[in-house]
Amino acid sequence: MTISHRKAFELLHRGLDLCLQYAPVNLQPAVLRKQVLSALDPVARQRLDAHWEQCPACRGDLALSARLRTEALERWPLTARPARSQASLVEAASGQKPARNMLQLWQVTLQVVALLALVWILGNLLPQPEPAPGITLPATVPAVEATQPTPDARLDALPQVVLTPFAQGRDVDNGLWSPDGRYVVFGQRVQSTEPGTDRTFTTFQVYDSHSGQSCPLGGPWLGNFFPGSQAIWLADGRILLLAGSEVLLARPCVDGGETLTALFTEPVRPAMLTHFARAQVVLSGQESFWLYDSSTGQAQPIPGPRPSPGDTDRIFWSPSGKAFAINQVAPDRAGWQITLVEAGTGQVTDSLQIPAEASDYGPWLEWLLEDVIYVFRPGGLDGLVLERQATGGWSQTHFGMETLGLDAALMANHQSHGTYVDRVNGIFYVAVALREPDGYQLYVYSSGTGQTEIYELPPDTLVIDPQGGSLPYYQPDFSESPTDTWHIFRVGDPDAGLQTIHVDGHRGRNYPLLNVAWLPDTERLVFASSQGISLIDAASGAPLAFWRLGGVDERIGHVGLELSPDYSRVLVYAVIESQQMGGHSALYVVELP
Amino acid sequence: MMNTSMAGIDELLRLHPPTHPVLVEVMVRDYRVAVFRLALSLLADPDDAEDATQETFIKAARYLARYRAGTNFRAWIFKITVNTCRSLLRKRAARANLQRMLNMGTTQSGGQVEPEQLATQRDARTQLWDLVRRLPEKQRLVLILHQGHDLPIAEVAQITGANPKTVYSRLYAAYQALRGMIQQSIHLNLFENE
Repeated sequence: MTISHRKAFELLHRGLDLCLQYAPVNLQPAVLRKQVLSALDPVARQRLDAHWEQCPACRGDLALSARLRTEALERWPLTARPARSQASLVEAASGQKPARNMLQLWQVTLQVVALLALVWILGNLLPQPEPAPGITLPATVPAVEATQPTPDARLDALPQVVLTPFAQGRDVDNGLWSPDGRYVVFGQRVQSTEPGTDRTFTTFQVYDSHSGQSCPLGGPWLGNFFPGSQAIWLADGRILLLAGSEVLLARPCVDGGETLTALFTEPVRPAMLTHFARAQVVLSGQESFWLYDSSTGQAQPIPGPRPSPGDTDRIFWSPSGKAFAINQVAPDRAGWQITLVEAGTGQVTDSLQIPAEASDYGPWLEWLLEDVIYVFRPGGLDGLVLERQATGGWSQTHFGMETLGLDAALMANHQSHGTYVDRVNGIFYVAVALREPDGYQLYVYSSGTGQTEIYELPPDTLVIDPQGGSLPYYQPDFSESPTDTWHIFRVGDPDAGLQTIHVDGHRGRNYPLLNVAWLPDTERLVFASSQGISLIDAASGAPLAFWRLGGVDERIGHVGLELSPDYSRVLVYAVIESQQMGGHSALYVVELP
Repeated sequence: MMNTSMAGIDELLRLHPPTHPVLVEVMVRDYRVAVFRLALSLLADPDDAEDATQETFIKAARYLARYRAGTNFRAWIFKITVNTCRSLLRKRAARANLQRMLNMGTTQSGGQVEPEQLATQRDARTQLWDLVRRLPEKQRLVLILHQGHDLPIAEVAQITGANPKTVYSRLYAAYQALRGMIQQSIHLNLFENE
């Protein structure tokens, strides 16, 4: 069957959408032709290939695409950066008041009159309201005596340790921890040194924190790939790497790996990585979702749900890893569809239709307990609690502001919200923070009591869940002398009161944000800035250790940190504000005592 | 529960309201380079691209409440970038017109080399995108977004406010026009590999 030139043009561009992120420099039409055809479904592939055979002008379009992409990278390199620093752009954009819809004067007047009338009615005609059942009135959390701010001299008593980066330079990505906390996989883009070519390759490497050495991992792969979206750690310590149309399985720094591409009958890509290492991995093709099991070495298509075009589906695993959910926009786009799959068999057990506003993306969910799922839309507050019924199926219960005892009028002050899970006792909490002039109110709903507690908290408070996770409610301090005073509140133990600590060693940093992470014992905190990395005793605020970031000649800006899964080490990603072209960064590993 | 230091903008919007300062930090951290590169490709002037980048982030911070988390932040901020660059181009055109009017009678007409002429005098390897600059704005924009920045058609449609069919039509027209221009160019040999 022949197709029109216009149809061939559309198929070319559909294939381009599917096969390329960024083209390598000096992309050849023959290579592009192969990539476009392999990305299309078999019928489209056959039609386009046949059309190209007969139509030199359409092959010309292919060559034109290759040339446009190649020259675009020469003209606007991926590494082109503005001269203005990140900090100066943040400063310029910060403090912008949110835009409001313009109201006519008569609308404003009408609203003011209505408001005054309402206030009069509430104050004079109606009985004063009692607190709703299950809602407690705000309680100011008693402050535990604060440690006094002391100068950074407290650090003088500690050994001075200067870290050396294990990787640095242009286009080094932040890495991913292996499940045992020993290895970090990271990527770096490099230009080919082969004379006459200027192609871009991605190399993946694994840093071994035991030996202090890095080993290459597969590749180099033609094109631009990132470990965060291409590499998947498995529970047994091996790594699954998907780059281009290849699937590689390797044991880092031990073997060269094996190619698994033949296991799949179509090109696959990772399906919404969660970074929790398991034996099984869900991958997404064009026709099916796939379940790869590293313990058996088998891959099977999951019968039923079909992947949506683009990366709009989301995969979430249950806490035990025995099941996972595929979240998608419903086929009629009238809501969401959640397909639950038993991981052991790869068979669909339930398909739930969730009414929701039209959306381009599947919903988020937090699989709170094995039989309890919280479904929500990012940025929204209303959610849905799904609970597995003993008789089979799942109940759906709306979880909205009224469940928390929140008034819609208060939502203009919405600061943050999150969930906390106490798996030991089978209890989950949903917390919402509302901003106030001198801090915020924290609403905490407990599934254990079915009640909402309200706490008055000062700003810069870290809220700690029973497992040690945290939600920081802090404001970046843009002043030249930030106080770095933090407060700590524990959701699972509110009677412990509010602790105040002063964090030393980070004043004078080049970038205002001070990043923080909790260790699971909830007794120690790690802070990171361009000044260094500090380990802090949560009870007293006393520094336990401090590491400076060395080995870099230029100014360090933003510094991110990621605890290893076993909490024994910290991966530090430092952005270097280099005067040279390209994004420069440095990676460090800190061994925690 | 998450560590915010490496979280993306959509994840943070799940936790914080759009006015939270950390969102500006993360927005700039994650999109500074991409926004600058897009502005550079639209404006062809590094200084203007710097200004457009800053203006884009100022607008994005102001209007962040209008972004629906989880939809496509890159398309949203690129749309702001495109509109900001369009506005700068309009100002630049007005300035050029004014300059031309002021120069009238004081300089010999035809004595100046137009920017487009300058562009075509560069070496052959970069001439293709100089030819693109001669296309009508709508065709040029979809070509820059799709071929210059590897954005999928659906995302180009989001950014330009056109439906995907219209994007295909503009691309198709752009390719036809480019082919015509190439035929007139003796320097380019696009079909050398065919």
